[in-house]
Amino acid sequence: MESGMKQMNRPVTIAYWLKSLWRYKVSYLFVLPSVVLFAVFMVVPLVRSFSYSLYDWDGITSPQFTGWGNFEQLLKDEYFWNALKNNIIFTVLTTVFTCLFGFLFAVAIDRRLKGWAVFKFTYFIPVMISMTVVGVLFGKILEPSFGILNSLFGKLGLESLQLAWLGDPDLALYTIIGVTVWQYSGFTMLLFLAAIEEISPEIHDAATLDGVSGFKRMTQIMLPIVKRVVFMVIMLQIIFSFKVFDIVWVMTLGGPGSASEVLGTFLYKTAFRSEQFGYASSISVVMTLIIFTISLIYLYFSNLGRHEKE
Amino acid sequence: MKKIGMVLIYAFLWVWVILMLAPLLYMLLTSFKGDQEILNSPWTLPHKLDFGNYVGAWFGKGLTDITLGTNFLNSIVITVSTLVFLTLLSTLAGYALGRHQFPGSKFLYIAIIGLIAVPVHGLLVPIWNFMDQMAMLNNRLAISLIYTAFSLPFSIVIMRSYFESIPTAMEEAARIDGCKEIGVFWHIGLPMAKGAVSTVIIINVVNIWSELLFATVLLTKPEVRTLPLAISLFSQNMYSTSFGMLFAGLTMATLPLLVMYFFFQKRIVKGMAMGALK
Repeated sequence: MESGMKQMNRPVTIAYWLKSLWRYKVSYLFVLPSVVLFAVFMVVPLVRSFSYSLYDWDGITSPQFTGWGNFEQLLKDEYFWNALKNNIIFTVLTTVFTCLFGFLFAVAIDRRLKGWAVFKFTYFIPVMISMTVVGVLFGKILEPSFGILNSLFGKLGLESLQLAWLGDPDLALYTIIGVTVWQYSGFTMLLFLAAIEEISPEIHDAATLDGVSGFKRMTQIMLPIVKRVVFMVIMLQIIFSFKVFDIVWVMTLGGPGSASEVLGTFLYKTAFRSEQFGYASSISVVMTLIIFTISLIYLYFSNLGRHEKE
Repeated sequence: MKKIGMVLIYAFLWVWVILMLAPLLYMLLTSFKGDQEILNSPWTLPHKLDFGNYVGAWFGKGLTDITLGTNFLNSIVITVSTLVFLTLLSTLAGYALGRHQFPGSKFLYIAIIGLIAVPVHGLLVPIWNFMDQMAMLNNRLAISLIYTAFSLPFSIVIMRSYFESIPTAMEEAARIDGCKEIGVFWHIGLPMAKGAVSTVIIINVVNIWSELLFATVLLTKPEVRTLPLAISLFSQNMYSTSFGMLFAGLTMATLPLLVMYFFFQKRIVKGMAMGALK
């Protein structure tokens, strides 16, 4: 640092500047490959996504500048609002249910209810499976005429439950939400469990002495202690659910009609089915801004943000 | 009252166990059945342990454009090479950022945190266009590099905080012995980071193995497709779908990670929690 101060008096030429950076050559060499990948595959595409959104472009003829045209069109596009609405329903319901179930499971496991090791092991299994596999598998299970769920209901005499799970426009989105909750409650469980297990046994002993038990202990003692983690997990689930594509794509392609269309599938179709790349980019921009904002809130409250504030 | 509550909770917990296992068991059992048997007796055990569906799906017997064996190997190649790039690059950058201050290091770190917040879906159109212009569509190495870039920001953050937290004594000793900086990294830094490397692999492997959106757009030729992509196309093809072979494919896509989970349950659970709650 001191030598740096002394050298300030020297004329600052580019050659001198480069020479002083040369001292750090190994560090720069180490970060270089990552920086190159970021530039090529993230920063430049991000900038280009913003600039494409100002053009009309079919991918073949040369792009026509339209200014805010795409965004104006987007605001009037009922399919966009429908996809956004579905995205919000998907996000709210999957977040609520995965967090609710996950927290309940985590408390049950932490309190060592009989079978806790079985719960802990099995609940996490679907997290390790790809969403595509889960989507295709449930697509077949929920098939209305020969899928095993409806044939099970038939055997049990519950014909009224033999629904067109993915074929009914009023039901398809909720079926997909149900499958997502099935898959990811084990993930939130794991995160809550990691936090709850940090609670010291003294606190539980005190609670036991005071006669606080069961439901009350869960809501009034454990929940406040792990409040920060609960907040983080909720944010994480919101970010994750907002980016949904795979499961909707393999289960319904956004259908029937556009009943289960989400922003991800809408973006894909606009770009690669109707070849409106400029318009698709304006959808990208809206998605990016929404998710980026939520993610920054998450990062601000996470340890990463805290570390930088110090 | 309290007793009824407990009974309900236990009932829910065990029903959830069944809900977790039943669909997977159904998948596994169905993968051994012929198409006729699947329709006629969906509930029974397969009448014999017949790997015909697996062989058929692997070689794409009677299927157009689908050879799950090729797709499986593509997935393995892409996943493994992505993890190798990811491990190497995140360790290098994490080491530089965690061990040394250099002009721009703080800015770089903040920029990397910003990149974590970028949703990669928004990059789909420009990346597709760029790959098209560079004639790198259907290129497995290119898609590995893209996956590496997407997984890097968070992985670097993990590696950096790891290198910040461990003492530098070993490296100092090596430097005094005249070891060059790159040698110090290779012989001491990298081997020391084994635990953090496994965390990086754990939090990324499922995403990379399962990625669908970019694969759909960037891999259009049958011979370069990944397994999830091939399965999604297979299931959407209404006319030539063989149920048994499709289920064999689903099982093939599930087994590698599930086997990993059976063997490394403790590490995986810890790694995932550490990664997410960092």
